[in-house]
Amino acid sequence: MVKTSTKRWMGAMAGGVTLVVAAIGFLHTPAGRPLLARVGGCPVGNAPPARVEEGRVRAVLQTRGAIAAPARPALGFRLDETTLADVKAWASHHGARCVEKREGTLLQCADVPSRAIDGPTADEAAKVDDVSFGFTPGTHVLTGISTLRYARAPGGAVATLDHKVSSLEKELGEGKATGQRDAQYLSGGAYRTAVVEYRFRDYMADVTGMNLPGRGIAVREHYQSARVD
Amino acid sequence: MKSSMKGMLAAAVACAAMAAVGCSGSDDPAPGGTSSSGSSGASSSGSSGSSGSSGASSSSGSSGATGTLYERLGKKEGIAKAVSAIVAEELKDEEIKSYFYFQIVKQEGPTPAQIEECLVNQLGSAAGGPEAEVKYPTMVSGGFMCRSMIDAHKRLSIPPGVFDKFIMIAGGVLKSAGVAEADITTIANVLVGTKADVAQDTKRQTGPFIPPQG
Repeated sequence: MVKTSTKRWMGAMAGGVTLVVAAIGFLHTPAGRPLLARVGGCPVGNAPPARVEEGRVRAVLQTRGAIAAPARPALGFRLDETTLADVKAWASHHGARCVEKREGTLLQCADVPSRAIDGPTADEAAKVDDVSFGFTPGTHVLTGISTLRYARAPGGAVATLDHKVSSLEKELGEGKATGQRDAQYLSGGAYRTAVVEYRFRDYMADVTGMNLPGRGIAVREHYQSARVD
Repeated sequence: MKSSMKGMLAAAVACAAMAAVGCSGSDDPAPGGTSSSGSSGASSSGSSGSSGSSGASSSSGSSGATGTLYERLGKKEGIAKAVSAIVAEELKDEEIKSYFYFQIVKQEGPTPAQIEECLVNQLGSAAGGPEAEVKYPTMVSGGFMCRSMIDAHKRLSIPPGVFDKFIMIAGGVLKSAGVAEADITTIANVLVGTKADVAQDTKRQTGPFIPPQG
């Protein structure tokens, strides 16, 4: 009798759990989402930044390469390890003006001293216009970094591009380069572009120089983890 | 290129990333998604492992003045891949990815597939594609009528700095895909004329998407 009662109780429990799981599952489908919203939304990871992160993950899966990177350079930070708190400490140390946004998934820094990004040999007065750090929702672990420098004189832009590409080549070998990375070419017309890209299974990097009207020669670096499995 | 065509071309390319193709982040498989990108197996033999997935035809080379822009971009298929590649790169940017809010988070408005249909038709038509293959304006699957540039971006409050970054990323994708320099310049030049329609938030220079309250 006791065994039968226990079996019934366990059966009822299992059925209940199945129903709950099924209901939760339905609420996360496109059809169920309006209902989920009416009851206050999902309490677990339904914050917009988390959903937006799903978009990034899909983009990474779409564009990453096939082989593992021999190294994953990211301006001295460690992708998938460095935390938001670590970067804030770095910003404070270098006097960088940073603002946390999007529930801690984005830290944007303006006019960052070049030395904080490029190392101690960089021009003391030079600034990087924008440095953006991306973090995982909730856990706030670094997923990517991008920098933007506007209004570079052609010579200075090329020097920056060369320095960045050279640094990457030392660790990763030759990347896929398109466009001429020289001052005469880049300054010769609007939107002239030079790009070097790396696409590994677990890491991606891009260095881009573009003649952007009204902005001079702009230089963008982008380093991103592709560990999304 | 006639001015009306320039406007359409600009609209198509700009829409491609900013409003349109949050597609990749929907619950549905991204149109032309992973399999079309060749990301898993198209790596170069070199150490970079480049994916070579950017789509738009590189057959024209850098001098490429043969045929129409539509043909040089690889016709409908090439344009679709280019749009997909540009959007993927934009989605990987720490700041720009937040602007896909309505497609990814809210799942409002047209579906990703509908938007892609619009874009391919819009860009293809503007680039000189034949009406039998691409047509714009047009109604796409599910009866969705493609939106104007202003309407597509009005809820996004895009600041000018984000617009510039978008152009830089898109230009890099096209360049890397081997699109001729003159064609990139054509596309980029007309984009600037629509900056006011797309980058409607002039109160700030940069920053992520600010979700609506309530």
